[in-house]
Amino acid sequence: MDDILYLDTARLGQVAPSASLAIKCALELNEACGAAMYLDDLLESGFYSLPHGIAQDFSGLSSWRGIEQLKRDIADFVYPESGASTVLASRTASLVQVAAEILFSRCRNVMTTDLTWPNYQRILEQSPTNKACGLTVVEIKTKLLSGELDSKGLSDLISDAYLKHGCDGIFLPSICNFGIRLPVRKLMRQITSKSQVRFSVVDAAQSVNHIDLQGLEEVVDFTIAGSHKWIRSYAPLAFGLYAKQGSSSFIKTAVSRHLASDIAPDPLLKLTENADKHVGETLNLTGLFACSGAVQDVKTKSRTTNQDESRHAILGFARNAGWETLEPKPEFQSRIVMLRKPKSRNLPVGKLRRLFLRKRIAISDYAGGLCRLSIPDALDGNAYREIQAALNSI
Amino acid sequence: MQHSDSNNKALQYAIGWGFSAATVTLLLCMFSSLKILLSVIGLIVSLVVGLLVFLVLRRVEPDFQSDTLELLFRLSKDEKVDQAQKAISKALYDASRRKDSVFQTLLESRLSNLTNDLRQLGNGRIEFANTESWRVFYEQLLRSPSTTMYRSVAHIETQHYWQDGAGEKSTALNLELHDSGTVSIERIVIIADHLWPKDETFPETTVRRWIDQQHRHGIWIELVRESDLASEPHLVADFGIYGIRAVGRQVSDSSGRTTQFTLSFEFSDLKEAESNWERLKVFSKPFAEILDRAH
Repeated sequence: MDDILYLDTARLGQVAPSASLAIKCALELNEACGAAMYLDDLLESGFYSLPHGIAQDFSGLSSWRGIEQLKRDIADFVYPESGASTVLASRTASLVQVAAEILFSRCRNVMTTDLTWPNYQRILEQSPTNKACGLTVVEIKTKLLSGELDSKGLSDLISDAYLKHGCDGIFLPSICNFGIRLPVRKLMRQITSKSQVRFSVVDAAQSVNHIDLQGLEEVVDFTIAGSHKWIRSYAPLAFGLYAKQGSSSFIKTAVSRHLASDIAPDPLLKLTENADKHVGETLNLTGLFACSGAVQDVKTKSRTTNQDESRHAILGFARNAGWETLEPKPEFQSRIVMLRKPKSRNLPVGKLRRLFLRKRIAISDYAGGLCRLSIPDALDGNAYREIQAALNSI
Repeated sequence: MQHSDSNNKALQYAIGWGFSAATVTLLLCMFSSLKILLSVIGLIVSLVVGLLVFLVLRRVEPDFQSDTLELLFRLSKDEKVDQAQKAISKALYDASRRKDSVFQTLLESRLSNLTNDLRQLGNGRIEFANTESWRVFYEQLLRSPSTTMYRSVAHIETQHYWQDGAGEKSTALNLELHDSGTVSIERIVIIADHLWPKDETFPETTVRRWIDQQHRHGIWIELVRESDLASEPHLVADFGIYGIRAVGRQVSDSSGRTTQFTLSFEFSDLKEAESNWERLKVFSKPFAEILDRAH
């Protein structure tokens, strides 16, 4: 099969080599031993707990060193030297549910924006168990995508709205699914200078291993992300991180309470919080092994990047080919580029994606002829030619 | 009687108004166009309808000074109050028949106390003295479906504050209701300086443990030293605001036991408590922030 130029990491990352190996070996181990005790030992104590003879045959799992080590590795990778704590789950939605429970028990009015991932927004809207709580949504997407708002304008708009509506909690994406990067650190500092923030949550699903998040743990209470996009583990694993002393204890309690009160809690959350070794259902552990492999690759691989150059080039090709480019101001830009073909507004979702695939390029498309391209670490001359040709012909 | 006088006056006004309206209508009929006539008739009818609605819906407070029968009639509409009123009246009658002078002196003193207590009830206030039994009604209020928010100010002068059995139960109730999402609880803790010296980041251990327990359950807690309120001593109090329904004030002794608890359903007391709450927030610091800064 001809290689595809993969520009769709924002949807699902192409699997990292060590993650791929770990998944393969996990399947082979199951093929050889089923659910024998080796799996229990492996899960709890890591690869090096396996008998030598077994370990030799499944060395692709050597990146796996147990649940607690994975939690430490993730925390050290995302927030180095912060002492952050990690919770693991099979779905980010489970962690958003926990975050929502904390937000609406502690806050009276929570602010979100129209950049929030729709599924998460639904969880927040349906969550309030207390009639005294409200949810305020600030609309900023159109103004940001059109380049109307700069950093100061955005900070003022959000902090003023926060104050005006009497908000005391906040849920923000660090980078939204359309590639708009919010200056969360700056926003939080401006908000806390004028108002009270009882609990803050950041959705970093598009941000981990995409931008540098260091320092964010000092201003935000809870960070939620997953390993299957820019970390490229393929098999999804959700994780939540928290480091602030002022909120660590009640986040931990909230997780325990969520597990105790939910009828069907996230089984991976249940297992990895040691809440119960018997989770009551068969669990897919692949995400754990894959994530540990992917994190190892990310930490050890040296990166040569030319993203800014790539972004500039792709946008140039697009404009020349008659595409509309949705460009927020530079401070809001990320490795995700949004394009729209004016004549394709009425095409059904999936059509443009298929047209690009015929040109051996993988992208995402949305209603209204909108396309999303995720720029990899580095693009070479061939890749540029392919992209230019595809943009010209579609 | 004043009622009859005011009713006579009202009747005179009504007759005068009706006569004037009729005169105007007749004159318009004779000298004006049909349109104007109909407009004026419409205006008069509207005013009359409005007046009728007012008369039907108005609540006329009886003049109890001069109309005791009216008062008794009104009381009889509330069965439990009517029964109590009858029992009290019978008891007063029996007591008044005892002619012993010492008894009569005691009776006068007791009646004075009873009258004060009942006046308090009339003002929507109930007092509990030297008893923890107020906690039963505290729980009732917090568990009531209409209570979705509870703002509490704890004035801690001793490390025994809410550390006895009754206090621990109330704390557990707070945690249970907050955990379930039924009631959103916030607390400002005023701490006596000897329990939180200025050179200490955190209060004394037992107090800190109590605060920490609530913080771990996600209850929003703010702390303030008592000396920081020296300029506004009226803020140093122990009270709780139950939704928009009632406010409770507690006075404790040196061992943390309640000496007096007053529960008020009076709106002016609620407003005052809310005002004091907002004022306290100017001085208090979030416990979460204190934790963040300590590390």
